[in-house]
Amino acid sequence: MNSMKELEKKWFRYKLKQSIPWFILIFYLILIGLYINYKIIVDKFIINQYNQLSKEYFTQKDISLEIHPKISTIIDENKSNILIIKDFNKTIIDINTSNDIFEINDTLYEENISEPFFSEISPVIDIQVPKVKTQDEILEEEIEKRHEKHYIYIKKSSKEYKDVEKRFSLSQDPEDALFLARIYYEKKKYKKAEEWAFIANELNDDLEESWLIYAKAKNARGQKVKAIHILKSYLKKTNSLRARKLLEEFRRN
Amino acid sequence: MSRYNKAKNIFIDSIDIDEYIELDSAEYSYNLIYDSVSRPLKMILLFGRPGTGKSILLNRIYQNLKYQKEIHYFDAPSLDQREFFRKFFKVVTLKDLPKNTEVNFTTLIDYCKSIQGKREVIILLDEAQMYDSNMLEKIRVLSDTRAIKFVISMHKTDNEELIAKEHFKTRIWETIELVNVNKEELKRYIHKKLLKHNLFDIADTIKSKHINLIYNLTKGNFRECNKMMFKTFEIYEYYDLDKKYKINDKKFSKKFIEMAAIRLGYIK
Repeated sequence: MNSMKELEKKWFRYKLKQSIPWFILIFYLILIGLYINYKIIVDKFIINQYNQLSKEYFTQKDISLEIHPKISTIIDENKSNILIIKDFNKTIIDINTSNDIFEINDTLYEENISEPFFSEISPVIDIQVPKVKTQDEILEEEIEKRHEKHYIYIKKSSKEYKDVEKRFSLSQDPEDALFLARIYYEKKKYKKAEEWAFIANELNDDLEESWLIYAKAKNARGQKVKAIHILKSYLKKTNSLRARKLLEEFRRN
Repeated sequence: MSRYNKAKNIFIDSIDIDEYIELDSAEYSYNLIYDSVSRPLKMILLFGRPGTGKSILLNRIYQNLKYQKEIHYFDAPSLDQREFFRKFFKVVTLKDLPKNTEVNFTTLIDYCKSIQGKREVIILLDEAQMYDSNMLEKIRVLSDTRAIKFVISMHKTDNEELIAKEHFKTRIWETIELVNVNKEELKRYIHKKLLKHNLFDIADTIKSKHINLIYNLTKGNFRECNKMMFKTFEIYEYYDLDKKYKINDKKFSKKFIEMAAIRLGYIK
């Protein structure tokens, strides 16, 4: 009796041991099944998300061109030379739905007919015409380049103007710079004069004398063309009588 | 007595000729031995793994020929030489050896030579692997007299096969090997055994899947199969008495076969 019970227990243990590989196999099959199922769900979710997003962002719109004002004027002027394509959208749809032409009309293509492949792209027209620089512009550029400098050179040249230069270093007064430019010009130290005139102009470009000394110093150093352009650019701004006289003088010489 | 008890007893391992089941492979071996015995051969070697039906085959030969020929069946090996020759003396001379005497082998040889051509004595030696080499040598010498024909049954193991070949290689005229049966024959064997005792209902429930299981556990060996079936029906008998609800009469239980295999140590 007891031995038979013991035998039954042994048999149960044996069956359990025998069924372990099956349990493992079933477990793995369930795992694989779950993985495949999960993948399908995830794929569906991604596709749905994609469809939603594409509906939001790729809504069907009429294709219209916003024409830049400059271009519109050109178009108006040359209407006779422009080829106008009529019923542009209609033409595209006609081509896409034509089964006669595309016999292989696969599902992907059909699905996407309802949802446009492309969104509207607003045309950005920027016509850049290369400029031919005039001499005035070259001069202006040079002045502008100089104007770009945000620091001031202070050079101590001689003992007699040391005090003014020293004061200028502290005060940054354009009048001091102009004074130094004037003195250096009188002393025929044109380079110095040019520098101080430039500094004075930097600090206050309304000082007419700084322009004139700057032009005269340039002229004195043999840079007549530059001197003329400096005066011309100043005249554009102020129409100064002194500047005009000086300009005429330079031209005569 | 329950039918399961009856079924159990059918599979008691015995060499009872009434329990002999005719199978194709066994029938072939039987016919080979029968023909060899009829011919003037000195020795016939019958070998095979334990439980392949050697003993019952020898017994069947003996039973079938005992009234036709002077045939004797030595089922149990005599480990003592004196005991063996006492038995041999009796079957050859048809007289009992007087008490406190022993056979003189030389005289026995002379006697055998004297009956050559007059009588043909057939000795069926079962479990011959139990005899020592000295005994086997004397058996060889006796067979050389041509008056005595030996059918020697041996277990097939590497060592025993070697002994058999070494001692008898020049004198063995016929070698018959018995092997385990296949699934089909095993099925026929089990079914025939049950049907022989009118246990049709049980035989009918034993299907191929049960036979496959039994075959895998016993490798088609008759002795192992008998043990297995005996143990299975013993378990059936137990449940039949105590927990009958666990028995389905229409379906043979694989569980009980497996339990029997656990009990016999085939499954660990």
